[in-house]
Amino acid sequence: MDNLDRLLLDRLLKEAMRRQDPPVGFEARVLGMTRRRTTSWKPWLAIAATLIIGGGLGWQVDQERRDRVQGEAAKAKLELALRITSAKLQKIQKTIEARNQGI
Amino acid sequence: MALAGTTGWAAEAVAAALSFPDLLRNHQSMVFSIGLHFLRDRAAAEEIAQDVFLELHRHIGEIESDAHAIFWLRKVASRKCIDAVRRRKLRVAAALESVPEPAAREDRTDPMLNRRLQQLIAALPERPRMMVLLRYQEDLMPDEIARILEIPVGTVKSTLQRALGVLKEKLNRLNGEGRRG
Amino acid sequence: MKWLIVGALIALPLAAQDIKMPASLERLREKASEVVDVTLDASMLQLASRFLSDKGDQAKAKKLVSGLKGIYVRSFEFDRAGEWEPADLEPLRAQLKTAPWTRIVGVVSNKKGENAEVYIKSENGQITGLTVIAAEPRELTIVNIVGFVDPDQLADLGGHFGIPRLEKKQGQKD
Repeated sequence: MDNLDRLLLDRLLKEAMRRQDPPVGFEARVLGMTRRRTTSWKPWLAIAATLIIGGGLGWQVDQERRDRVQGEAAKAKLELALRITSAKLQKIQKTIEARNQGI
Repeated sequence: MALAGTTGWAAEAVAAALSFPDLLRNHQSMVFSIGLHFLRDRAAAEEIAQDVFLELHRHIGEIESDAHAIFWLRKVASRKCIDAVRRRKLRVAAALESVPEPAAREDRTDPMLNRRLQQLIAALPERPRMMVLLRYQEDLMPDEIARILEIPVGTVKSTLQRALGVLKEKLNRLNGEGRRG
Repeated sequence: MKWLIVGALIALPLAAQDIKMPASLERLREKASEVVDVTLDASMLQLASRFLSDKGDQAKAKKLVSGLKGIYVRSFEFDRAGEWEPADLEPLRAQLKTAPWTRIVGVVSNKKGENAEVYIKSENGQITGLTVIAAEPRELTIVNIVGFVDPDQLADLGGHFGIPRLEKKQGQKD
């Protein structure tokens, strides 16, 4: 690639900065958190219910969220590792093929 | 969910609650991507996006329109990202959480080049990094970036120009120009 | 006895990594302009695999990863040439020169200053490890894959998921 001009750099940056969707379930999790934060018109009932039920459910939802976040992060690391490995192996293979062809 | 006998503030809250899910649905990618491209850490990006929307929910009564919401979300997301880095003293250039393009999406350019470019951007200091992000992810002009980051527009222009110069130089070097064996 | 235990602990590789990343390479972090450090042990691979799809390219990758115990990547990029020396790699190469490791590919380009090596570890007729060393004037990358690496599966991923088509034949040495 020759020297980058500004237009090409702009295009590359826009591509690299493309928006990506959040992990699956993000919307539902946030909505769930906002609903738990909303107090009932009978606040004492809401507080009691939250303590009895919300604690357990909340923990479970949080745990599921944490698991998913960690899992997606691990998957991203795996993809990165495989891509780096593939790029290096591909380059090695091309070099070998070129030499075999006497280039 | 209507509450019988609600007063003015409750009616507003109900009305606002109806629009919050729409705001969340319509703008979650924008907010998440700001965190992702700034921090290059999907878990941290999700956490920040979550915090931004929870804060939006708390301040929903102040939002006047969808355009206002977008401005508000960009502003808060930018601030939280910059604060997160300064608080943790993260150096994303040496971070262990380099994030590739998701395999499911179709890349129109070389994924390795994309990754390198994202790494170069992530190596910029926080403010120039956020400016580049807002310029190219959100397609904002310098004056809009200046309002979001609350800094003079002249500063945005000069900082952007310098940052792009650095990125261009580093990309040229990566692509083989000026390499010495 | 105490000294033997301490010595054994020092000699133990990190997690299930079957080669030890020498201190000479770890020191390159300070000189590098960018570092990529990926450490995926068996538990992390299992976790990642759960989030791979059962269809298409990801299914193939899932199958490949199922036999693995670890993937370790260290990649250093430098602003200029000369930041790393061949001696930095010698402690690593020393581990790969003895059985059960065998070098199957060695490519050197003196003109470009590039050097690439691929080593495999064989036990009981199966490949149980793969190490790639890719060295360029401004970039140094080491990949260590631990576990049952099936070249057929690796080749089968060729053209998909970003994995190249890797032939099973032996490479030439320079």
